[in-house]
Amino acid sequence: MEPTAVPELARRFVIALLFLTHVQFAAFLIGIFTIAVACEFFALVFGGDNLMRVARGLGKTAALVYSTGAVLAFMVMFFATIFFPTFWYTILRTSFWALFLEGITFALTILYLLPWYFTWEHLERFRWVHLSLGGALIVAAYFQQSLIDVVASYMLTPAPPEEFLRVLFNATAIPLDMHRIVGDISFAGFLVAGYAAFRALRSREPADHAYYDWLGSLGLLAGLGFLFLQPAIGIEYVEEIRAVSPGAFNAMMRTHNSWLFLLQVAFLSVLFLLSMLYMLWQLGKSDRSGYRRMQSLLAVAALSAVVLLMPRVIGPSQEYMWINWVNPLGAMQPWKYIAFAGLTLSAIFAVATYVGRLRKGLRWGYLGGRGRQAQYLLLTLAVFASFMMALMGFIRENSRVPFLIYYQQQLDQPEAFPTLLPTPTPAGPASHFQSAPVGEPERGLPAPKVGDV
Amino acid sequence: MLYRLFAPLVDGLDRRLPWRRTLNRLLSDPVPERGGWWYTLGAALFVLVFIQIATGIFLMFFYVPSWDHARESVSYIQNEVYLGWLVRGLHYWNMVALVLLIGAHMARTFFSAAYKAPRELAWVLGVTLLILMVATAFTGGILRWDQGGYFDAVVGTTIAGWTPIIGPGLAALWRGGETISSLTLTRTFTFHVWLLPVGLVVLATVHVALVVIQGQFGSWVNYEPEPAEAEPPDEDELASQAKVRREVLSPESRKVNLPWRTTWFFPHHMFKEAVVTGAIFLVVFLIALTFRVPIEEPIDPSTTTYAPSSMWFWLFLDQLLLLFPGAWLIPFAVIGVPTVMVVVFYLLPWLDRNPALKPQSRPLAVMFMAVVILSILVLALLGASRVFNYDFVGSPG
Repeated sequence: MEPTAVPELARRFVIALLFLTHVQFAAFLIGIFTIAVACEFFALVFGGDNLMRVARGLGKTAALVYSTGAVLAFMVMFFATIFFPTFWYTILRTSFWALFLEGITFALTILYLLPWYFTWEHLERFRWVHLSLGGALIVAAYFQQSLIDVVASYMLTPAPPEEFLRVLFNATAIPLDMHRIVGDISFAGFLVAGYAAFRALRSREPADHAYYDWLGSLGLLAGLGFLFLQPAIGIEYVEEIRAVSPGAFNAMMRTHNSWLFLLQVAFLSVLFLLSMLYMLWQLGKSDRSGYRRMQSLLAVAALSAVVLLMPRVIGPSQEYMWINWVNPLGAMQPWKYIAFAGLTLSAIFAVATYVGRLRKGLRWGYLGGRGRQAQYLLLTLAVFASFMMALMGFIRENSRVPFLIYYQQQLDQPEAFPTLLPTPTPAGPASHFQSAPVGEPERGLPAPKVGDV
Repeated sequence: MLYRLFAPLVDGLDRRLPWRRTLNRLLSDPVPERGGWWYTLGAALFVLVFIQIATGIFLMFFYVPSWDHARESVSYIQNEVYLGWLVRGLHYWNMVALVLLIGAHMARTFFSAAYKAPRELAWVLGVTLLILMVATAFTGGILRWDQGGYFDAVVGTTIAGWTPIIGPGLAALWRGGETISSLTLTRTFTFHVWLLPVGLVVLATVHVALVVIQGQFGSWVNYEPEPAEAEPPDEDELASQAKVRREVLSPESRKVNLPWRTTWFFPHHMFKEAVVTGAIFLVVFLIALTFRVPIEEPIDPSTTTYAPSSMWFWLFLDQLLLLFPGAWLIPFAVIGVPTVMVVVFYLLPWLDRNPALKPQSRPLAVMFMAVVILSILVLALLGASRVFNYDFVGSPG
């Protein structure tokens, strides 16, 4: 049986499963690179054995996990080629240079990752050289992600395919890339926190309790600290989608997929709220004034989350707020902006309170009562962060349905492998091969215009 | 031989103006030794301002600030005048470097806590210089008097008109009436070539004088403990340390928080400044050689196809508009956020009451500035992407 004869739903399921799993690995790795190198930097500048231990541990994790992420990427490519050959052919044609550079940055990432990890002891006396390797690794990894984001964003907001720069910097390439880089660090932070909680709960040594308790806090601060930026960048990203691919925007924010977006916002709110609850419980051990402040901030955040999750506007709208928009699901009416601001600002102040307390010293390793529950919170946060990553990708990929490439190629378009036939010419059989796919229109549907959908 | 020739003149001058002592005092100023490269941006800025003035004077020889001839004179400079394109390129790219450098210089000042007492005035002057620099760059863009320049004038004067209380008067003063006219161009020209540069030079001189009087502040980098096996200080360092001790401990001294490890301003620090300034100028020069500064089409106020975009240093504010819906745009995004930013920056030395100097001892302030810088960079990049896709995307939102 031809792979293209596999039922469409099954083909889509395989690609989605592989792709979402790969994205989880890739996001985790890029986040881990960043956190590990940042820890090494801070350990060098400010000193601190724990920070260096974190950097080393994360470096080892990254080196071990990288190959899994890479294998998943190759599997995605393989199955995309055999299940969606027309699509793959089109993407190769339009994004060839982006994918070519992607391959180079992939090699560069490995070239920096392995020496960075394996020279940890050898460059003991030249830590800044080692750190520079880490810096180069981050740059290579960011570029690698940026280049694959070109393809992902092109599928949602295509540009004229013959213009390389327009494809490279299509309308959502940079917003998506920023959203993902910040998201990667946040995601990795939450996963580190979850891992630390797991180890803290499992370990029996008080020293390990203290270390993993501290590491949990560090991971959470990285996770929450970068999560602050996400709503603002997300709004910018969605605004670009609205301008260029209004049909996708409507699907995602206003009509049939908007419930998924509300679910996404629910996950986001959970991440904010549970993080603040964790900090509240941690502070409860030793800081009463900070505890009370954190309670107030948590109340503000909870109220903001309720407003954020409201499917319909509450309170005065048009005549009082001078806004002309009605408020179906997902529309960013004023109250939702205010809710976003409330959620973000309360979390920023909560982090400031918590960091202020950390400076004075916090007793690490207390795992009784709330201390133990706090570890379970970290585990829950890691799970929700993972759900959120998967759901975000799912929403984005489904917002352009029924198109594979927005207004250029449809999902239910017949898929066919490019034929390799000699091109007949008056001079005889051609020495080159024609590789146009059978049955594929040259450019698909006409390019969309603003306001088409 | 040369000295003997001019000795009477030089000595006579010195008897009347003690320039030798002053110069010696300035050149032997103690500056932080460790992390000294971070302290070179101020000098680079000072030099670039004078390059900007020099190239600007060259452009003024040919520029005609009138409605009918402004764009043509720019075109003449670009295409006809010998090396005009290069000087115009230097003027343009030098401005880009100036705005970027002043941002980097302020970030260094912030992270090393050099805005704290008694250096508040230097910080306030620095913020003013940033505003003047951006205003100079903005008015310079208008002087092209092509489509982009015209719409910059429209947007600039309109926003000026939204200033609370004095707005309408300010806009009328700038425009020279109710609408954009030839008067707008001549007034913008006056701002660009006289008022703003004079303000820049005067305030920059006072700023530098303050830095000399109060001393180059040793940032946290300078206060790192010395390793046990550190080499003993050499003669220069010992002399410098002795001078620092005298300067800091003297009751008349206005220098505080100087680090222990210092070196002479000349030749050690000046060498670093020369390297950095030279490198920056080289980059500017190479960019000016490579990328010609464009001139857009002649003014057509009635156009419906031209999509005006903001100048690059406004991109972050431009992009901020997308975050504010409908009628919230003007009060919040256009007036509120920039005003709050400026006020907070001015009042920073008094708002930040934490006496600590090291970044790790003042996490709130560092977090605040990190978020501000990160937000500006992210918004600017998003804005650049949007402008790049303008003709495909159409008007945003």
